[in-house]
Amino acid sequence: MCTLVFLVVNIFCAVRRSLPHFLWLNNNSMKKIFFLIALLWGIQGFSQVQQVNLTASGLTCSMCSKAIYKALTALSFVKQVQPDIERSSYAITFKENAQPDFDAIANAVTGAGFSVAKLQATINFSGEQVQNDTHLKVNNETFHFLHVSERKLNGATTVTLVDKNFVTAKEFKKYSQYTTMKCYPTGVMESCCTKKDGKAGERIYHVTI
Amino acid sequence: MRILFITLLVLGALRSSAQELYVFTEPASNMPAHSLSVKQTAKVLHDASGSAINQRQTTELMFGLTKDWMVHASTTFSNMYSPSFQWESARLYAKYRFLTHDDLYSHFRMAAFAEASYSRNVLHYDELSLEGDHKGVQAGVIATQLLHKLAISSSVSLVENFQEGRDEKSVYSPQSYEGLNYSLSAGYLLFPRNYTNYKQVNVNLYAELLGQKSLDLNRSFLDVAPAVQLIFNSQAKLNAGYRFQVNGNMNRMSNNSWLLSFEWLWLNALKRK
Repeated sequence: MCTLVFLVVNIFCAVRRSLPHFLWLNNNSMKKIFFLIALLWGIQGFSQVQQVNLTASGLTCSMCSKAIYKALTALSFVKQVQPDIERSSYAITFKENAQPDFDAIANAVTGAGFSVAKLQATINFSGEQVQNDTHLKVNNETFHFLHVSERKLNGATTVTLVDKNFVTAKEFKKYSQYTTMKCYPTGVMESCCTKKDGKAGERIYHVTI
Repeated sequence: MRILFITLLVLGALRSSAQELYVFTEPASNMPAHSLSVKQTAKVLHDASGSAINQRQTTELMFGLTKDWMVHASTTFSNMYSPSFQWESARLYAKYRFLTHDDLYSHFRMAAFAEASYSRNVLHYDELSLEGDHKGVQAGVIATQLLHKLAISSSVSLVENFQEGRDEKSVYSPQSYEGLNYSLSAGYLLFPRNYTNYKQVNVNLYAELLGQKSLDLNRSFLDVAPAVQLIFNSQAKLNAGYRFQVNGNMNRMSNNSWLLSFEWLWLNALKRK
């Protein structure tokens, strides 16, 4: 993908240089085009989240389960939801080129009146190196790996989100002992995080394997 | 009383998922955010003389505003206080869920509610009820506990009758104007044994204890209310219940009544597109 964008930009620049000056695009148009390219790149990156498996808690009936199902299917980036009523779990797949938003998924469940007990995302990795209690930028999303051994991630790997609103209170407490970093309770980039990972206040999803 | 309570516990613990879509009371849980529900209820009873059959029809609209707030608006027609069937009351109810502890196989939730009712009826009985019998207000708290397969809900509230002439001495006095309502409810899923899809018909059984203690007179009642509920397509509820007094010394219109209601739920109905 990177190569592709690099090529497109290069060709664009070459064409621009070869054109007479009056045919050059103004700065604003240029910005828009680069923004579009950046956006497309971003979207392409997010499609690496292949599927999400979610278990909801606090419900007792099929009517409740249907409320969650309907709230999930109403999300713009969701393609299909396969519910297991007995287990209160939902397998969610996403529209092509759509950007899955984990927070929006959790909000859909709480909006229906229940809570997320477990959320697992299957992500297609391409040789990223993972270290315990460190951040990893997977395209546009920052993940903070907790309670993992050092390893290289290749291909479809299932990670479990352990942030507040994605686990039970008990589980949240359990994972709190694996890090002293402030970004875990807040879920956003804090002073503890290295600057190269992103701006302060940016969303970080804490995950384990 | 104790036997009844134990029966409720055993009934709930025995089988399958617990149910908290109670027929006579509200649980601490709310309806889903952005959903809309319409409920038509018929209450049928023999009047105090035991000769005539009286009926009240209640139409209720329920709105799930957010995950924590829900509002009901209802109106009633009946022949309970008049020789013919006529419009008698309107009521507004709001519930706020302020505590949620959800775990995988348990939850504990608490909610506060308040309601106000306008009624053209002038109550001559001790039993206070904002279902249409008199003008008044009520406020209280509800706690619902789901523990593995058992769900129990309890509520306590204060109810006050604001009808005209309540301070005047009348031929009917003394009668109660302030009361404490309390309830204990349990429910369990009879069918299906295994959930496979949303179209399966659910059959739920409920047992509820409904009590009222007068705060201005030394009078009270305690009712037992068993009910059966059918849920179709995870969208429509059909409820049938019978409520009867097991203990009490209140002057009531009737010590027992039948209830039949039908409710239709639209999920995401209030969501902005």
